[in-house]
Amino acid sequence: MTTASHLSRVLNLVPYLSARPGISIDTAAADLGISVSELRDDLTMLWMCGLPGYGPGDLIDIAFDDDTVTVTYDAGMTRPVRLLPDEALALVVALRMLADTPGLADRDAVRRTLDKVAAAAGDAATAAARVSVSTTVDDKSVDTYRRIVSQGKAVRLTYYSAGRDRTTERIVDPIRVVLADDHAYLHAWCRSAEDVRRFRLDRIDAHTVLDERATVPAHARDLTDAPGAIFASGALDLPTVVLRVNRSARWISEYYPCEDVTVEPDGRWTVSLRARDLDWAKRLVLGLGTEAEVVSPAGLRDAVLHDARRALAAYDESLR
Amino acid sequence: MSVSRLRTERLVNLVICLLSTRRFLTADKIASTVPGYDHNPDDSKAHEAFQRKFERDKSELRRLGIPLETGTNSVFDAEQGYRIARRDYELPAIELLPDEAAVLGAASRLWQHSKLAADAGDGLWKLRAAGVDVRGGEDPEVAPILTVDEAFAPVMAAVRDRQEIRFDYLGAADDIAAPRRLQPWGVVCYRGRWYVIGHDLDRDASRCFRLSRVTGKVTPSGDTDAYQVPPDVNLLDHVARFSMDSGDTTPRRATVLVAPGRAAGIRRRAEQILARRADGDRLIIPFHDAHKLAARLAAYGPDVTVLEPAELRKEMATLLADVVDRYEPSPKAG
Repeated sequence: MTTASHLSRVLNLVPYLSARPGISIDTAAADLGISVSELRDDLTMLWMCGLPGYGPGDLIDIAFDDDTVTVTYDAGMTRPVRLLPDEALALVVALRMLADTPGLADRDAVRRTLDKVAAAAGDAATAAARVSVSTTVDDKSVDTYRRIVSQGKAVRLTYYSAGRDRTTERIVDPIRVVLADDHAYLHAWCRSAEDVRRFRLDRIDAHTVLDERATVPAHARDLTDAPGAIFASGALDLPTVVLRVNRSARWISEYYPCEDVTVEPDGRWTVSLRARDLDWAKRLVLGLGTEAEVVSPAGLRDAVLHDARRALAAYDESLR
Repeated sequence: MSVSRLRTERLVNLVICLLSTRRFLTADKIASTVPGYDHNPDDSKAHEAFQRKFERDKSELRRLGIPLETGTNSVFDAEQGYRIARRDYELPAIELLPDEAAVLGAASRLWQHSKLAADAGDGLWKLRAAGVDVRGGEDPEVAPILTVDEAFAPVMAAVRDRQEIRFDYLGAADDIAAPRRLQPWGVVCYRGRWYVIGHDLDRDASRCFRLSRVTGKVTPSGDTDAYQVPPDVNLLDHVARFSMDSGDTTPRRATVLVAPGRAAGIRRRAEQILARRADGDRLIIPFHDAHKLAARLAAYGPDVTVLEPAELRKEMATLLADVVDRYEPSPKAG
């Protein structure tokens, strides 16, 4: 740990403890995200700090035993240090994003918090006012699924999976609604997959709330935090597809997680990405038409040609 | 005790000392008062070592946002002294209701970006030290996931400081990244993508840049508070114009033939599915742009055939014929 972050922790520790006389050492250490022995080291060090003179009446006095801590003299360290501009920005922007989240249960509480934190942050928070958010996520459907989450009931979903191009029925135990990249998702324990899955709300074609409690395995809740986790897990087993794309199809490098992008002398990009399966890749490539060309695997080139020929057979020669 | 712990202890004592004084204290006075600085001022080597140590400590405090004031107590004082004004040092009073504290806790955990997550955590720690109790840790039922591009933090810092930035940018139609100079006004998250809007100094006009297309580092340049943000600027409007929406016109309708049990992605877009015949299902699909719909339908290969309108049949046939041409193993004669 750097001196700067250690110093910041220690300077704010005295007011933190002063506001909570008799707090348990375990609780304080957990709040700080440090071990109990690190906290004891900090407290022992603070005994050596105080006002000039540094006599018994000048030094910070903290009483602590095996369980609890109480500050009996703070030597003037009554308040924490002001928020740094970066700290204020991170907190206020997060609150603003939360305030603009569709389908939020208690928007009023977010607004009140935002006002109070911005006031305490002072000048440091003004830049956060110059962040705006616009989303196309449907407020109503987010609200619907938020209510389902709070009901705590299992749900039967009719869900369209774009990756497999199938609509299937399954029973899930909802965990929460998450918004990312301008889409809303229901994170839930999927009973058939026996794993946490996310379901894009605009791909849920129907739902029925069951008269049965949602039961989510305890370990599953922790899996839902990282949005990238779903791509990361097992991605290495997926086939690699290499495409050469025109300028107009460069968006695919921003839309799908790509492993490598090379700019060719003719301005086209060579992009390599992991495909769910070759069927999915075939649909992607056919939809891109002449904007992209498969470099590898050769089997995918063959499949694309085969399907395009058969599809073309349905149209008159005069149209081509 | 380790060197770094001794240093932390010295700095805590320095802060307490400078907070407790209304008079400016000179470096020599500080050296003779605060533990950890004592040395023989007549020993020039020892004195230089002290001066270096004191300089490092001062910049450490400034980095933490601790406002170190400099000045003299009277016109007769030759040397500058130091003190810390309590009103500038202390976080103003803040009291949060339990539901507000829960919101704050949830907000501080939203960042996926490591620096912003760490900044939010450090800020939250200070608010806790101010007496705010963030307990429970229950995540809200609805949570946005805040992912930002690398450029976000430096661009926001420049927006805050009203300072020019320089960066390389690879526009959608560019082959190589080109240097840009911008006075940033603000940042917008539009449909899940981040943009910066500002005054482009080379084009002398307002411009909008997608943060994911900024390549390399964003470098601040020149003075802070260097310009004014136009008071009536609407950041969202700028981005909406930049990303060119297709307006909401009345949709047209296509009839397509879909093989039995296939192309689920097309079926769920259908307004109507007509009675099944032996060759498959006839679906009525609303659309705005024939070219875009053709691309979407072509993805399903022989499972989907357009029956009407003729314009869409033509689009499909052309697209498929071009694909066949491209992948045909032996080039046609002629």
